[in-house]
Amino acid sequence: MLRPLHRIAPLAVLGLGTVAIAQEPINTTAATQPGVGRLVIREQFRWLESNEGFEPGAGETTEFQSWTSVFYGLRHDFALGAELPIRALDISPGDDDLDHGSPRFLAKWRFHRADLEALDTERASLIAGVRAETDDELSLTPGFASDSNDPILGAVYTTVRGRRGFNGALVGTFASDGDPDEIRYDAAGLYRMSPEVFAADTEAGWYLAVELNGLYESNGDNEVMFSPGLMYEARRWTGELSVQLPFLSEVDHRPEVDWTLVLGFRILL
Amino acid sequence: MRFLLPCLLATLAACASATHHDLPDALKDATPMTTKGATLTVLGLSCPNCATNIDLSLAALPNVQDVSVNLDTGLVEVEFRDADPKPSPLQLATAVRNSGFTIVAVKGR
Repeated sequence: MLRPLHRIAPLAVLGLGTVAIAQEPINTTAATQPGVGRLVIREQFRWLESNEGFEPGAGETTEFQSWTSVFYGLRHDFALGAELPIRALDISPGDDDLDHGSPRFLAKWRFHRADLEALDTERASLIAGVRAETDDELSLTPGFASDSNDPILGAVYTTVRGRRGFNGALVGTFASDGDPDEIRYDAAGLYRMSPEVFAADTEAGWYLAVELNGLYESNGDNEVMFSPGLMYEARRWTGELSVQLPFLSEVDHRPEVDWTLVLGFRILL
Repeated sequence: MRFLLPCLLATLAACASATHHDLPDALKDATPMTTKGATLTVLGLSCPNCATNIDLSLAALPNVQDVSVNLDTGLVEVEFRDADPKPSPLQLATAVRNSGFTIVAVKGR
């Protein structure tokens, strides 16, 4: 029998997304990028809780992560970016641990753009990059750190129709050192709650985001998080708040995450 | 594996370079405008953040005093300073294109 969350989540994503909006969702990669010579800096803080530990029988685990990313527009259809994660891990019983994960270096090529109306658009991008080698670190997020240089390859699609938007992303990270490969599959629907109609003096908008964020690992682990959220988008910055709850969890090789709280902002320079 | 990623990135860059969203002929006029301002018709302005991409690009052109973007209508009003040279239709169109949007018309006013 389906739990209520299993009924509501896909309907919510589809309901918001069937007619769509091109804002970048909180947990899903989008086919958006800064203009030529522009820089987008994004800072995201993530608080993850698990009732399990990394060793059998261990207690609960709390992890705070900071993800800093920078994307620079080289051409109207090509951008380069970098991402650095840092995390503080609190294992009970155990010591606190603060360390950084593997930096990611990414290129994004927007190979399809169809601007249909003043607001409406359809965009698709390819993403390629590398998760750079660093010390292997414990984390509730698979692939947070890797001791090899691992290729990243993916495709993302974004569409906007008036007040609604839809984003879909499929991104794989292929581990070179025998760790499991990761395939992230995400879908996000967005709805502009305010203003109902844009005007010449519109300075900002409020958006409701509903996402399904999936992660399949080649060791057989598979999880999907249901992620409702709220975004405030001004002309030069965006604030974002989201909660991630397990929607599907078939995880045997790492602690299951019970919930994640996400708080972030983006600045366009 | 060592060579896979550089090859992949080079391929992406080559693909990007080979892709041209050519501007319509009417927007390729490189003659500086002589009017006090211009109205641009733009498509795909899906969010306030997107509008800022255009704002900043147009404001960087010579003798542009003010830029106003109406997201709902897709009309971008550009005010020029009372000085020369004013931007050409090609410069205005290129700035919009480089911001990641489609421009369909530039009208002096």
